[in-house]
Amino acid sequence: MDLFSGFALGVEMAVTWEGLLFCLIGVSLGMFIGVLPGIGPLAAVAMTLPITYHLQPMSALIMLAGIFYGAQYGGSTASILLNLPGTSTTAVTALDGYPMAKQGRAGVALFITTITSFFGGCVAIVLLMGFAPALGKMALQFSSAEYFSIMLLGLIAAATMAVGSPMKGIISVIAGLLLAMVGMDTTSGTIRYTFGILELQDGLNLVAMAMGLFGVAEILKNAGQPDRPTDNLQKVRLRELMPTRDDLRQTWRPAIRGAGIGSFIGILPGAGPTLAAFLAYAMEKRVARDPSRFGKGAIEGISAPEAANNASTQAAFIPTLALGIPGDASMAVLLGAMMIHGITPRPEFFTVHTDLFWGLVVSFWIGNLMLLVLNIPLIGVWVRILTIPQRLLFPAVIFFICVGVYSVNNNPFDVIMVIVFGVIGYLMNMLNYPTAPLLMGFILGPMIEQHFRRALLFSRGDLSTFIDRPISAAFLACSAGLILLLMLPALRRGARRLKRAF
Amino acid sequence: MKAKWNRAELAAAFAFMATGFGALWIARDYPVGSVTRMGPGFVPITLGVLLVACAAIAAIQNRNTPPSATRPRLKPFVLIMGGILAWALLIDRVGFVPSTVILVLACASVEISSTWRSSLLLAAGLCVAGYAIFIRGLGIPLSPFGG
Repeated sequence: MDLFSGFALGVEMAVTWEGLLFCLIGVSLGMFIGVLPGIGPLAAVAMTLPITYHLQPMSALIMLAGIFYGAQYGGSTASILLNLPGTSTTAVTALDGYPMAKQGRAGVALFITTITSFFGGCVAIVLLMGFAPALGKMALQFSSAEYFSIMLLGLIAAATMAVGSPMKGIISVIAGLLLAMVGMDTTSGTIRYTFGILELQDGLNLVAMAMGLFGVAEILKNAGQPDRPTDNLQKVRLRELMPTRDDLRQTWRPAIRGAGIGSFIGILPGAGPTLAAFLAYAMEKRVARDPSRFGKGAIEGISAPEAANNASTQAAFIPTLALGIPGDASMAVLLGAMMIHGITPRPEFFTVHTDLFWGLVVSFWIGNLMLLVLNIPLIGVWVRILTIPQRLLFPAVIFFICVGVYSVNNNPFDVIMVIVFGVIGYLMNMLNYPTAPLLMGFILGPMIEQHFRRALLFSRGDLSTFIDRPISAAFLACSAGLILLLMLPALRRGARRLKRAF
Repeated sequence: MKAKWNRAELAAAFAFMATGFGALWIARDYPVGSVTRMGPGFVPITLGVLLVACAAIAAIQNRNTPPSATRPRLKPFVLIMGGILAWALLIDRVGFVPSTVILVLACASVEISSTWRSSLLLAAGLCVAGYAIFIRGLGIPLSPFGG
């Protein structure tokens, strides 16, 4: 199917009353969650997952995707106005956005971040339209060996590129893979790790797990702390939004560079928008004629990272949809949601679910346009959202988590599982073990086990099947490279010690 | 000079090690099979060994890192988790409205700025919203009062 007829099909799918409505709900919810510090897009998606059980697959996907990219737009608002990132991906935006706000240029900063976000998103959607079907076609030749290797690469990348100690990330991934073993083994029908609990036979509930790890654990971290100070929150008036011609001239080049970096990072499995934003910022600082301006309200310091994180969020759909390999934990949850609806994002996705793919792509355009409208004329509304006190917000979120999880199976057992994973997530957060790799391991676990077993069955137990196939070998080489990179500091230390010894 | 051990880090690493050993212990009942025809025990055992090994490395790596500044805060933890637990245990016995009121009051009491009035109003609002969205809208079989 060519681009044009695909697009026409997408319009047919997404431009319906239902499609538009759920797109609007998704992006508004994403914006809302993005603006609020303390609740990330993962928690938001986990909270809306139960509702998607009751929707058409198309509407469900449009809404969930809208939450992701909507949150990227919203996150910068809190970063700029309060110096508190609404989501981790917009932490960099605070570096120059907050100084701009202090200079009374908050409106301009918000306008620039919206425009560059929109630009970054658009670049990545164009890439998605061009690349994903081609990648999917190529992946049709993938066998289990390739799938195993690429999933392994995704998991290692997710573990090691997370913030903090890479070893902790790897432990988190392995623990997630082990959790995925709970329930019935699809190949042999053996029941594993259920401790005789009937509810565990179908495996752990993804919704309960995601809500515990991200929803409850995030609230526990912030609950009872004093409310964020909002007295110095400025009113942003519409006419203050207009940037000067100079601002615009300084914006477009960084935005292009940022979108490029973001798209590239987004396509890589395991590397998410946070990394993209940081890299784009570092790059701008390097190419700038006067790097000392950064951190004091340099406009490049907000336009490049914002273009990058939005481009990365949209580009992350390329590996997710084409190969079924999520770029980060948020994409992994989306993948889980698709599987709930019986859609396995695989190369066949484009042949079997062409309508869903193009519908989603068209909804991205619509959603990004909606966000543009939501952001610029309605910016005052979002600023006011920052003043919602925690005493109303947190109990409400916990309540929606409880009802939402209950509604999946109409069973209080799942709510108990939320508590279990809430405790695990809370402890892991406190000890700096990243929780996102755990979720990725859990979602990819069953698939990676199946492909591993199938690959070795086909090769009659010959492990060299993973390196004999060139594509699989390339993925494994990348994984090995990442691990080597990780061990480099330790190896160097060891070498130095050896030298001293002799 | 001997550096002080970071107990929290060690405890975390040992907890993961224990998880790995536990997984291995349970998996001894699952047939391993051969590399060609793997049984249901093959992958769990591999993962268990990996987890134990990595946790051991983490224990060595982090044994005397300076302790992190975040202290566990017991009050929010107990009240919020207790609220959720109460909701889960009560929902099928006393119904949607009473369990929601208990949950919201427990969670709201964590916040310093909460007042009885604000919390009760919030609980009422959430009961109405929850009833409209989940019971009327999505048809979740829950009764507002009673089991």
